Order: sequence, then structure tokens, then C-alpha cells
Amino acid sequence: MRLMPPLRTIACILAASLGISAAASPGFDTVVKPFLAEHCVRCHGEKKQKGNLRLDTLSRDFAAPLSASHWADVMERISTGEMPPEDEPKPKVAEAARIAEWIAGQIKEGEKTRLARRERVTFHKLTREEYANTIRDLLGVNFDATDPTGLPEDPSWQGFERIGSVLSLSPAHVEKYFAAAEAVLNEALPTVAPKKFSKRKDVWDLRYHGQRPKAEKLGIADQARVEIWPHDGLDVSTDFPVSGDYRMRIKVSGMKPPLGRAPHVSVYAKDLDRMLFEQDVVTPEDQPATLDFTFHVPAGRRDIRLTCEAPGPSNLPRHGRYDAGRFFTTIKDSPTGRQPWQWKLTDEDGVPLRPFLIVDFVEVEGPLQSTWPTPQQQKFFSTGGTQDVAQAKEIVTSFASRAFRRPARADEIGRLVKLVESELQSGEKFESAVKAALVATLCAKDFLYLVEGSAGQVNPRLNDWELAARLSYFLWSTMPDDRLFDLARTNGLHQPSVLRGEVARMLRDPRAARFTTGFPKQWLQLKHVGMFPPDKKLYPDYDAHLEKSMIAEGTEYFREVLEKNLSVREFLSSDWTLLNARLAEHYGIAGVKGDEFQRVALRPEDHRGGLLTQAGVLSLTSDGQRHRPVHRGKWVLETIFNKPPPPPPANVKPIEPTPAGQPKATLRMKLEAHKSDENCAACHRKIDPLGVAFDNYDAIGRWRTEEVVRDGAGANPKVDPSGVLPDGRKFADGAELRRLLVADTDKFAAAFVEKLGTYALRRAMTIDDRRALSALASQSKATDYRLRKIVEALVVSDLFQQR
Amino acid sequence: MTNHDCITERNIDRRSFSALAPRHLSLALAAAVSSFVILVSSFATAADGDKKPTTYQIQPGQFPPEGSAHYIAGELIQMDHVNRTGQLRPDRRNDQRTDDYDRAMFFAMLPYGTFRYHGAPAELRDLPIGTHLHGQFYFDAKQGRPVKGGFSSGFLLEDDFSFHQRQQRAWRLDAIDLNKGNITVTGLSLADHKADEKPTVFKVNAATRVWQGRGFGALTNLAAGQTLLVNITVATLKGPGHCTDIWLDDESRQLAAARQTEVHRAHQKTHGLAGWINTVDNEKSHLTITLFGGFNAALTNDFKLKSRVAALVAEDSLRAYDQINDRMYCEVLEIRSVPAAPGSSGLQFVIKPENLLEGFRPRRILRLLAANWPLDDLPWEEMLWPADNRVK
Repeated sequence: MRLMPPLRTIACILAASLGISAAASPGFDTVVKPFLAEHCVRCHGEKKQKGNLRLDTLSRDFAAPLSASHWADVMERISTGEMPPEDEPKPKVAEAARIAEWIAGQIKEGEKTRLARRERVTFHKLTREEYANTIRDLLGVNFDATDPTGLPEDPSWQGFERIGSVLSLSPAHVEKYFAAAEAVLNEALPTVAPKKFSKRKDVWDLRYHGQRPKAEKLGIADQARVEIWPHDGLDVSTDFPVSGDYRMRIKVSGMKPPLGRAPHVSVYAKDLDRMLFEQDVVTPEDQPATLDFTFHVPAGRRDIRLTCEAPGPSNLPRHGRYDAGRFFTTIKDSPTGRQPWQWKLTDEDGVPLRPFLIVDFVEVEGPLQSTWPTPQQQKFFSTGGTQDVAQAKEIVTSFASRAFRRPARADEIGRLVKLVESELQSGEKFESAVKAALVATLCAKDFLYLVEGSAGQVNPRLNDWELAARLSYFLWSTMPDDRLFDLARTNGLHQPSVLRGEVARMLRDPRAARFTTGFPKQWLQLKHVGMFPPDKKLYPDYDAHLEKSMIAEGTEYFREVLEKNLSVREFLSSDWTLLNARLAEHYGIAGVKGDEFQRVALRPEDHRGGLLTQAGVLSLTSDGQRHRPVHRGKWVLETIFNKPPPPPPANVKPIEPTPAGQPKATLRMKLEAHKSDENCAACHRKIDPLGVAFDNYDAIGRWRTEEVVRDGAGANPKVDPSGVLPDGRKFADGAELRRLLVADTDKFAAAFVEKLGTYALRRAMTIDDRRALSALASQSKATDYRLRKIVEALVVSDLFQQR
Repeated sequence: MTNHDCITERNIDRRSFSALAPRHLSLALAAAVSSFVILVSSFATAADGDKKPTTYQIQPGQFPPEGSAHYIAGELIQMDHVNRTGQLRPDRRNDQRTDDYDRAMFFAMLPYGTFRYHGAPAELRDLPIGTHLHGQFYFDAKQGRPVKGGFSSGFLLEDDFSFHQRQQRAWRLDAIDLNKGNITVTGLSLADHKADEKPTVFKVNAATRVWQGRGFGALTNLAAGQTLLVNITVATLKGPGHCTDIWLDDESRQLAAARQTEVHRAHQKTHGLAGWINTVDNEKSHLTITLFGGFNAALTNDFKLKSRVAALVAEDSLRAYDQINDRMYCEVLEIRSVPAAPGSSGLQFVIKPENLLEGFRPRRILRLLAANWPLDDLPWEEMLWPADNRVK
């Protein structure tokens, strides 16, 4: 008992430090505390913390975004009746309303405090993709940001890679930015005219080194070609004299088996870890196609391999190896052109048995800049220039104003001109001196960051320059074009009618592909597709082309919804999708030819429709060995409903394999046995139904009715995709669940708007954005949730135009 | 010949011996020619008489019809055992011009061509240079005119032991003169015990191996009235020939045959039984293969249904490339008997390879190794890959 006074003192100190005081939250003790004690604390208190939530100690500092967000969740669950759960006594409606009102009032008060605390200037670093795009628009130079010589990978938050608060800048970044600035300016403004380079590698270079005389003696020198078996390839490494854009031409026939897959050409730069080109090729043997594509590479020897990506057996120990002394000429006599120990290419009638390529030559030429001086040199250093400080000032003013996406200030120009002067004084030539200032510009924070706000004033609204940048990086992932700059200059951009017109114009522009690709990739977290490479033994058909096609289905699907201005309801369920031949084969859907994605009508027996049945989505939650229903459910909660579940508690026991001799069990059966912990079960009731509904799809998204189980005895068990949602609605399978989700389109639309806002505003949506987001969600309902309208409404909203 | 040896003898023109030899013997007597001629006539062929040499052309992927081969005997004077080619110094024949005597004759064995030695299956490597051989050949138009040695496609080559045993013939020892190094023998049909009309005199010397019982005897063990088998050399020049080996009794003959059988079994187990592909079902990945003859039939007991055998692609010489790396494992789906044909074992397999190779095409040659046979590297000189490393 003597200990009581000190304990009370400590409690008071703690309470004060946590902001837990009657003064900070008036009415808590009389209104909220009794309610929580009666209805909530039994499951969310000292003894139990279901869903990892404890309410009796939840901070009541409503000025803190995190605690305000938690209280907002509590409010929502009480007011919607989700809590207390069905098996607990229900509070009176008036009681619940009083609680909700109290929480809402506290949140509102907290918002004022948060707004008052908001920083006057916000910085959002460009992602490396945005950096490269901006450099291209600014200097006409392609910068390979993802190369080892490029920029570090951007960290992401909930899949979004453009969140300002997580894009940090380290000393390593600064060095990389400096090197990048020098590299792009050297390429844009070279000191000597780049020498044209052209090299054709014919069959004598590609394979039959030094054997032309022998082939001539045999009379087949003009007929020799090079066949490439599945997984096999040719070394087409090349020395590139300067950094720049190059063209590659490949003359190739693509032999497709009548019922098999098309051969897929891939040209991969190993040292850059970059795919330069890939495409399905199907042509008659005697009518080869000439593939023609351009790419950008840094100077030096690039380790490039041309590969036939297609299914086939392992080329080890040597059946896929080329044997010197034989000259492949035609598939009709391949037995004489090939060794009997090599893989069999064609049947006895010359019909391909597996997809393969026949190459005639690979040609590289470049750099592709056709004029000298380069366009950038002409632009910066026109021949009539005075080549003095005045001209330098003119150049850096123009350049910095575009690079900073606003008129450069006099002090900024002054610093850059001073740098030019210093260089000139130390003996540098005019062009070199100016280039130093341009490098400095590209390393400036106002180029590397989207800067919003001003240190001198408190203004939550963006000015038109900032708005132009936000809009262009939202829809184009690059700097504003001249029209946006012009509108900003005349201060006319923020007008709703102008903004609507600009959204329409920008979505028509090819640069909008960066939005239709970038947003769905980040929203759906498609970056995780293939993160755990599927086991080659379990999934021998899985390859890079399939993986790419899986990702492309998600992005192409989004593009289609946007272009056709369809309802976002289509993301939940549809009777169509977009497929190429590779993915259609994976789905078992006949009649799709070619590598281009095309709209395909789906029948019920195809068991597809919407995002949730796309192989990319289904596989990104798998672990390479098996499907993960819990991960799938978590993904649905996060991505579709924006309600990420709390992380699992520590020390969760792993799922044990079925002992030998016992009947085989599905993963679902094992999970049921696993969920004995009541605290776990509370969350799993919400997560698992959304995952097990898609148990009919294996780890790479193939339809199945039985789950292939390795451990245990007996036949593989049947899949049970039925379940019950937390609100009691039942479903028999994934198709029924999708129908239930469609019935909840308003919830999905609200979540979608929030995801879109996160992408556009480059920050997490907070409790303070809820009202605006809710308004946008309501607005979208009025337009049947049509995607273009949602994008347009977001851009025109106050939310978009404010910091 | 033992009942267990898969050899097809149907296409041998039997008249070349049992029917023709006596007639030619009488011709020889009438001409009062030397014993050399008598010997030659003993092995003369249909070309000597009323029948022209058959010039049947081998058809790709088909076994030849019965009775279509042409008989030529001679002494082995050169061999390339890896490629199954060699040269004979043919026996002199009555229809030859003297200018053509002893003209070396090249031969290349057909893929289903076989050797026999000491009454058992053999490989060319088992035959000592100088062995007098009896051969069955087909005409290869690319090699020249028939009389000038165009019969270069070998179907069967066998030593005197094998030849006579297969013909159910032997020699009856009439007299021995060790001082002169002569033994006088008379050809004898074991089927009806009829003797030839005229005896033959062979040379013997200290180098002659005498097989007796389960070991070696000596020339002094020779006694008139014994039934012998002999192998000879120096047979085509100035006399009937020198005996390299004389078998005095059945036990010694069985010992020689059993030993050679094991030599060949060991060879087949490391190289695989050869056959050709009749049909290929590319969709199902099924191959139908007919095994060639010329091996001990007990070897097929190692091929079980559903077992995993190794298939090696090979050329017509039966030479494989790199058997460790080239092997393709196959499941044996079916083993069946088919009507025997010259060159065929009468055994057909249906196998399912794990993957198809270029060499898995009709008419191409495979060698099959049973699951319990050792699959190991062969000496480099036997492999076609990476290259023939023998000094040219």
C-alpha cells in the first residue's frame, strides 16, 4: 500500500506525456470510457487485444495523425454496426451515435492543430523513372535509370514508389545524380562529332566462325543459317563507341509448332540487367522477318544475348549444344544440318515440334543522332551567339526555368552565371563552362524534387506552376509540356474547365501510357509478380514471357477501363479481359494469336473476369511453391478495400506437413486446424474468406478443381472455395464472391479513390483527407464510377490542388 | 551355332557350299589342278557356274530378302574395327583372270551385318588378322563392277570354325605327317555323315594351337579318324592353308564358343544392342525399334517392360558419338516378336524417350543399354564426338 503514491505519480506523468487528460479530450470519462468498458475492452483491453488493437490505452492525442486514424476506424466500425460483433450485446443506437459524434468532434479539432503544424514547403523527390522521363523531355537524351550505372531503386510504401516521405536522398544518391548529370549532358552536348558505327553479324560471326571456306566447298555457304533452340541463344555482344541510341535489326524466322507456342525473341543486355527487346515471332521459314528496334546504351562493350524464349527441355548435358562442322540450312533437311544427338527440331515432314528461331543476321548501327551539331547544341549554342556571360545567362535562365518547372529566380540564375564565369576564368571554353552550370542545375534540389509551397508564406493551395508539375507527373510521369507551362504562366490552369480540358488532352497523349502502366503496377503491387520465382519442377511452363504477360494483363486491363471510360466495377468482375497468345494458352482460352494484347470475351467456364482472377494478381501472393490464401485475402483487403489487416503476432507456428500415411489435406484444411488462437482467429475471419475463395487457382493462377498435395497419402483433395464474409454473407466460390464484391462497389470506389489520390499527391492519404475523399467517392457514384470521370474529378478537386 | 545366338542365316546362299563344292571338286580333278585350286573351288561361289552373282541392291530401312547375298571368302588383311570396315584377300576363283588374283577387297559392314568367331557372335576386333573368313556381301554400285570387288556391303563374316559348324560340317582326319607338317583331312557332313570325294591337305607347325578338352593339347594328340574343326591362315596363296587352330573334340569346341560368347556379351553390355527405328510417333514420343541379330539372345532378358533403358544415337557403322552425354533414357513400353528377316533379331521394342533427338527418325540406328548395364565412357577412339582421334 505504501507504494501507491509513487505509482499514482508515475501514472500522472505518463498520462500527461501521452496527452491523456480530461482537458485534452473533454467528455471522454463521461461519454466514451463507460461505453468502451461495456462493449469493447473485454476483447480490446489489457487481457485480449483482438486484431492487435487495445482501446483502453489508445492515445487520445487527436492532433497525432496515427492515433486520430485509429479513432476514426473505431468510429467507423461502431457507426456501421460492425462492432461490437454479432455475438456480443449491442449498444443502443443513440449511445453509439454519441460515441461517434464525440470521436468525430475530436478528429476535427485535431485537424486544425495538424494544419497549423504543416510545413510551409513540401518536397517530393522524383522517382528514377520520372528522372529519366524528365531528362528525355529536357535534353532529348535517354537515360537508363535502372542500369547499374543509373540510379538506386526507389523504395515503396504499400506498392507506391513515389511517396515523398519515403524517397530519401543519401550521399550515394548525390554522387549518382552528379554522374548522371554529366553523362546526359555529355551525350546531349558532345565535344566531338560521334562517329557512325555499323556492324552486321552474319552466320559466320554468330556461329560458324572461320568455317565459310568449308561451307563454300560444300556449296552451301549462301544457304547457311543459324537455328536457336528453346532457351538457347546467340552472343551478340557489341562494343558501343559512345553512349547513345542504337538500332538493332535481326533477320529471323520464327518456327511455331502447329499446336504449340510461338518462339519468343528476347534481346537482353546482361551487364545492364535490361531487356532491350522482346517479341513473339512467327514467320514461314523462307520468309524471315526483320525485327527493327532502337535502344539506348552507355558506351563500352555490352554483354548482349539473343535468346529463343520458349518451352523446351533443358539443354544440358549437351543436346542443345551446337556442334562445329555442321551447317544448318533448312528445316527440311535438318537431320543433315544437325547432329543426331541434338534436340529434334522438326518431324519427318519438316513440321516444327517445338518453337525455334532461325537467324540470318544481327545488325547494329548508331548512334542514331543524324545531325551535327546535335539538336541540343544548336539550341544552346547557336552559331550566332556572342559566347560571353550574357549568352551564358540567357542559356542557364532558359534551362533552369524548364528544369525547375517554374521561372528561375534571379538569385538562382546569379549563382549559375557565377559558376560559368569562374569556369571561363580558369580557362575553360565557353561550351564547357556553360555545361558546368547545366550540371549544377540538374543536381539542384529544385530539379530533383517537386517543390510545393513557399518558405515565406502559408498557403495550402498550389500555384499554377506547382499544379502543372503535379498534373504532368500524375498523368505523364514527367515535366510539364509547353502548353502546361503557358497555362501556368497565364495563371489559367487552375480553372476547372481548363483542368478538365487538360486531363482529356493529356490522356490522349502517348505519355499517358506511363499512367496507365505506372498506376496499376503500383496500386496492384504487380512488382511482386515473380518475386518468388515459381519452382521449375512444379511449374515448368512458367517463364519470363509468361511473367511479363501476367503483369501486362493488369496494366492493359486498366488502360482499357480508362480509355473506354468504364466503371471501376469492372475491376471487380467482368465478362472480358485482355490477353495475348501466351497468357491465353496459360488460361486455356483458344483463338488468341500474337503477342499483342487483345480484348477477349470470357465465358463462365473460363473462370476469369476482373482483376481478382488475373494470373498476375493470383501469383504475386504466392511463394513460388504453393498458393497462399491468407496472403491473397490480405492483398484483397489492402488493395481492393484499402483496409490492411494488422501484422501477424510474433511466434506464429508454421503449418506442419501432413504426416506420411495420413490423407492429403488442402492448405485450407491445414489453416483451419492452425487457427486455434482466438486472437488470430478474429483477423483471419476477415482475411481468409477473401483468399480461400480463389483456391481454385494455383500458385501461378491456373484453374484447378483439385489441390496437388505432395505430403500425405491418397488422392489429391478437392478444392473448397466457399466461405462466409464477416458480415454473414455466404459464397460458394470465387465467382460468387466477386458478385458480392460488386454489390459493395461503393466501398471499393472509396478505396480506389484513396489509392489514386496517394499516387497523384505522392503522399499517404490521412485522416484530414477523408472528407475530400468521401466527396470524390460520392461524386464517382453519380457517374456510375466511370474511371475517366474519377480521374477528372480528382484533378479538379481541392484535394489535388492543395498541399 | 548355338540356339541362343540371334543370327540370321537365311540369306546365305547355301548352294555355295554343300551343293556346289562337290561339283567343283570334280571339275578341279578334271583339270588336274593343284590343291590350291581345289581349295578355291571348295569355296567357289555361284559366279563360277551357272548362276551369276546376285547384285541385289540394299534398300534403305529394309532387311534384304533371303538368298540375296553373295558369298566371298578370303583372308582378313586389314581392319578398322571402330568403323567395322576392313579388307580381305579373296580366295582365288576359277572365273578370275590371274591379274585379279589376290586383289584386296574393301568391305564395310551393313548396320545389321554380323561377325562370328569360334562358333559365337563376335565383333570385328575379335578376329585376328590373317583369319580365313567366309563372307556374305551385297553389291554396292558405288564401289565398282561386281567382278572387280563391288560386293563391299558386308552382311556376315565368320571364321572356318563358325562356318563349318553352322553348315554342320567338319573334317575327318585321315593322316598325319608331322615331319612334313601335313595333315590330310576329308570334308564331312555331320548331318548325313557323307564324306567329300577328295581329301584336303593342311599345313601344321609348332604355332598351331591344338584345343583338347578344357585345355590345350599338342600335335602329337592328333590321330587318324578324329573329327576336327580348324581355323586356317595363309589360305589363299599357295596351298589350302596353315592351321592356326585345331579342335579335337566337342568339349574343346564348346569351350571356345562359350568363351567367345562371353567376350561378345561383355562388349554388347558396354556398347548396347543395335537396332534401327521403324516408326516414330512424335506426338506420343514413341519409337518402334527392331533389334539387329548377331548377339547372344540371353542378353534380351535384361530388357524388362517398364524398365528404363538408355538409347544412344549411332551411325550406320554402329558407332555412337558420346554415349555418356548423348544417352536418352527411355521407358520400355512393349517387347514383341516380329517375323524374322535376314539381319533382324526378330525382336521389336516400343520405347518412350524422355525427349526426342534428331537421331530419333525412321531408319536411323540406336543402341540400347538395359537398365542394369554399365553406361560409361568408351575409349575416345571409339567415339564420333568430338572427333576421331586416331592418327590417320
